[in-house]
Amino acid sequence: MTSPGHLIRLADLGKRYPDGTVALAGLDLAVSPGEFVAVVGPSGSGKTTLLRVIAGLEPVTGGTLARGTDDIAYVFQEPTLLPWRTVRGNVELVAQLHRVPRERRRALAQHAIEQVGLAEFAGHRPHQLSGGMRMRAALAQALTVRPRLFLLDEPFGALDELTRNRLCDQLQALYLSERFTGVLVTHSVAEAVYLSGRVLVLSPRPGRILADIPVPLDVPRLPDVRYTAEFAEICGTVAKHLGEAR
Amino acid sequence: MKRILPPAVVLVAALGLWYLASYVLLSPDRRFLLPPPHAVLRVGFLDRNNLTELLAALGLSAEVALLGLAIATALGVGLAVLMSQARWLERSLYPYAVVLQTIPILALVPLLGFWFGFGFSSRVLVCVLVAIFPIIANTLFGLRSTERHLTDLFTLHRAGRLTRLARLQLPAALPATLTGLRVSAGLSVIGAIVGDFFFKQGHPGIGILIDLYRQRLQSEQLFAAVLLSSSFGVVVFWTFGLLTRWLVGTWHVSERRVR
Repeated sequence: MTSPGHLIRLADLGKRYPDGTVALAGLDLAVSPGEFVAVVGPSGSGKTTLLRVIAGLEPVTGGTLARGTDDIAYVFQEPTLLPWRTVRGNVELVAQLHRVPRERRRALAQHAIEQVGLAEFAGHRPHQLSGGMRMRAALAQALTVRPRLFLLDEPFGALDELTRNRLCDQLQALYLSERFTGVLVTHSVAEAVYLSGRVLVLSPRPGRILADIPVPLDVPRLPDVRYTAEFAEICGTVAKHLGEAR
Repeated sequence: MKRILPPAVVLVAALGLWYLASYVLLSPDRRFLLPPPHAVLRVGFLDRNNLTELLAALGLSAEVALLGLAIATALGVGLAVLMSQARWLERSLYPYAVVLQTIPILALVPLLGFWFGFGFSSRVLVCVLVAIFPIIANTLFGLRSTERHLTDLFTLHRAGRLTRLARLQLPAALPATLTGLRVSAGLSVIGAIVGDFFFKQGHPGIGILIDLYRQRLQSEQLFAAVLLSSSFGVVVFWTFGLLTRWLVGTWHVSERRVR
């Protein structure tokens, strides 16, 4: 289905909701395997719709969508945790839905819980955790099935800046070790630049891609990179396009 | 102490009023209308024969109420699950569930007698009929109110209907179902007693005894029977409260203690 070399390819993609709202129109996008792309745009520009369409949660109403894998993980704005399960049970959930045998599931969950640093809290229920810990549990849940494509919808939007930055570093470390392809929707320009190989700026509704800005910073990126002139310059470019989009 | 004192004060005050009405308002020859508490205690509960009769009747009514409740729960949850599977099923079935709730059950009682006899099964059926609606309505509400991002997660990972039901919808609906069950348990106890008034074949339930004591003007025993059936209702309600805490107390908002 996909043209060689791309994991996701959208051509002239359109999405109109049954109520008549046109969320996306004439959107072209190609993402290569192993790439990490960030999407920024004004509120209501269809960023979430774009992710949902890529995930197959919404049918497209125009153009074509080709996706090279079904091994998808999706981190939603709210952590997808069942309140009656412990952290361990929640992390196992996705593997369970994929019918991974119990023993293997346990091991995968244990590994993922350790990766996000929640080992001490494996027996806690979601309401006993802080917002950041809940999001880490959701990340771990997504990681158990070793996704080839990782979609993240403003996963850190509700968290304080310190927690955000720490989770960004964890996400980067996970990306570097797992080498999935990532698409991150975010409101934060700095977060987009820090994590991605390129930043896409979406226009107001109906969303299409206004700018495609490469981020030629070395990986792994250390927290201090945020204070370099180069980082600031890229953020400036993104912000300029974003300003034009409003 | 703080939790026990206020209701204890109310109890003492109520007993005081009861004595007052019994001894001051009523002349001795009309005292049978409201026998004083100690007479109720002596005749109704301390007389071995009377107590045995009452407890046997209560046992039978409890059996009717609990069996009716069990059937109503199984049927109610089943119907709610069915309705949650497709809008057209809900649209076809729900109006009849509402009808079931709104027809005066007493109007149906003679028919039930013709069809199912004037004994045990009709009494159970009355309980099912009065108890089923809160279970259907609450369970359906619970099944429908799973959060969108959780539904999306299950869709994304291609979970089938059964998996979705077992792992997401039913556990999410449990607190609502239990709330319905608590209401229905009370209704079912009432149903069992009401059923007794009409279906008198077989061993007498507590409703039959109440009717009998009324006819014979045995007001001490009448009061004892009323008290006993009320306490049974309270015990059932309280048991389901405990059950709720035990089943969802570790995670549901309604049961979480404020720290």
